[in-house]
Amino acid sequence: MKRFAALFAELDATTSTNAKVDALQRYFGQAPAADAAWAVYFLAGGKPRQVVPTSHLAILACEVAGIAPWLFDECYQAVGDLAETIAHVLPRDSQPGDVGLAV
Amino acid sequence: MADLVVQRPEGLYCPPGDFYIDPWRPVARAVITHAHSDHARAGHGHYLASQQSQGVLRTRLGEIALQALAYGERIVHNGVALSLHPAGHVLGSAQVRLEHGGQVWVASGDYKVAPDRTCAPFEPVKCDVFITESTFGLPIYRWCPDDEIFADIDDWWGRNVLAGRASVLTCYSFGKAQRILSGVDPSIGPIVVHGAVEPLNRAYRVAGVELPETRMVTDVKDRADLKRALVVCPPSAAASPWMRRFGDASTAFASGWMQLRGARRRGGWDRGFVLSDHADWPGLMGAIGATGARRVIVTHGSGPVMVRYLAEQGLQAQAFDTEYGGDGVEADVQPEAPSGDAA
Repeated sequence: MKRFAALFAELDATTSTNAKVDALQRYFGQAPAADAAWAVYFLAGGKPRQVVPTSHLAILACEVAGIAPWLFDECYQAVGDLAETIAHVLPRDSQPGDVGLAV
Repeated sequence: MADLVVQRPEGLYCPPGDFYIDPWRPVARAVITHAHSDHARAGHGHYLASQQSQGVLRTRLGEIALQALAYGERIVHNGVALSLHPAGHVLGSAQVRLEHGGQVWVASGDYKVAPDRTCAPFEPVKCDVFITESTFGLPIYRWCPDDEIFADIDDWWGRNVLAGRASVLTCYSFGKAQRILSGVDPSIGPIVVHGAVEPLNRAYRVAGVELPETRMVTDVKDRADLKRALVVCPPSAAASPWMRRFGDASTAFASGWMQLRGARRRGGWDRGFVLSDHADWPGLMGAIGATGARRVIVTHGSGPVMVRYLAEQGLQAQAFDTEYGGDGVEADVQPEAPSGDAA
């Protein structure tokens, strides 16, 4: 997951197509085959069927972040993307784990 | 008990002292918290500001009737005791402490609580009423330590040097630019600054802030140097013909707004470095708590959100409408507002 997150950050950090192709080549040269297959699926726009409703995700994020739902809504208004909003309000992980993309 | 600071069309006004704090219209007497142009405007009769801000204020406003106070030095004006205390925002930035009739009020101006090599650190000041800014008054705004950001900038610059591209880093010319210059590793390559940045660099150096060697683009004789350079300029320059000489450069913007992906993408920057001269959400809440104030007045930024949140925490909270952050200069700082009301 971390390697894929790093790839995404790298793709997101440039507007140059060449730089993106370089980053993809590096990633696919190193990633385990099972992860790489999922990476292709996600990068091609694939979306697994929704497992957890988004409203539930928002409630959980409020609980873990210790903020009221109205304040979360204000944050969402500023960010404009639910996943990004959740990422920004959650406490920063003190013991980051590393789970594979194919788990 | 009468309020020590009230809102007037000209700006925040102290009735017993008969002076304004960072007024946006010309007045007879103005106390200036810092030299950013939405707070320090031209045309006032008399200016009072911190000693450390003298150089930058004069750089920006020219010859003005300026009285300078050392941090912590106390003067009494019309019976109001006034002192200035470091706000940690930019060189010379100050909070204004007012004492009159047994009340203490503090107006924060802009502030940040994280350490900064280019200015005196924020000093918590006990008060009954605290007037706070709220630029980044949402829990999504949490900053990383400066060292991490500077390491990211150095890494980006180093990769660009290898790729033979200039690294154009846009940021506010006063404060942010100098903080970046003092934080990056000058051994990576030459540093070129825009004409809007260099006069402020001079003022910082005169004030004793150590900055690496900087060159104007006209001083660069060897064109190859431009391909290895870190170029520090205001965002407006990035869209101007001035940029052409750097060719296929990588562009970045350093601002707290870069926390949000949408703000970065809309600006079309390759990179966004999340580096702000304002307090983040934990910083704002920590600063408010440290004052011990039971009443808090919120100015420019996420006013309504902060007022509601602080009221939920049991504080008496209200907002002042100010004209900070809304002018062309702040638009320069934030070319693409991520949300209309977060100015």
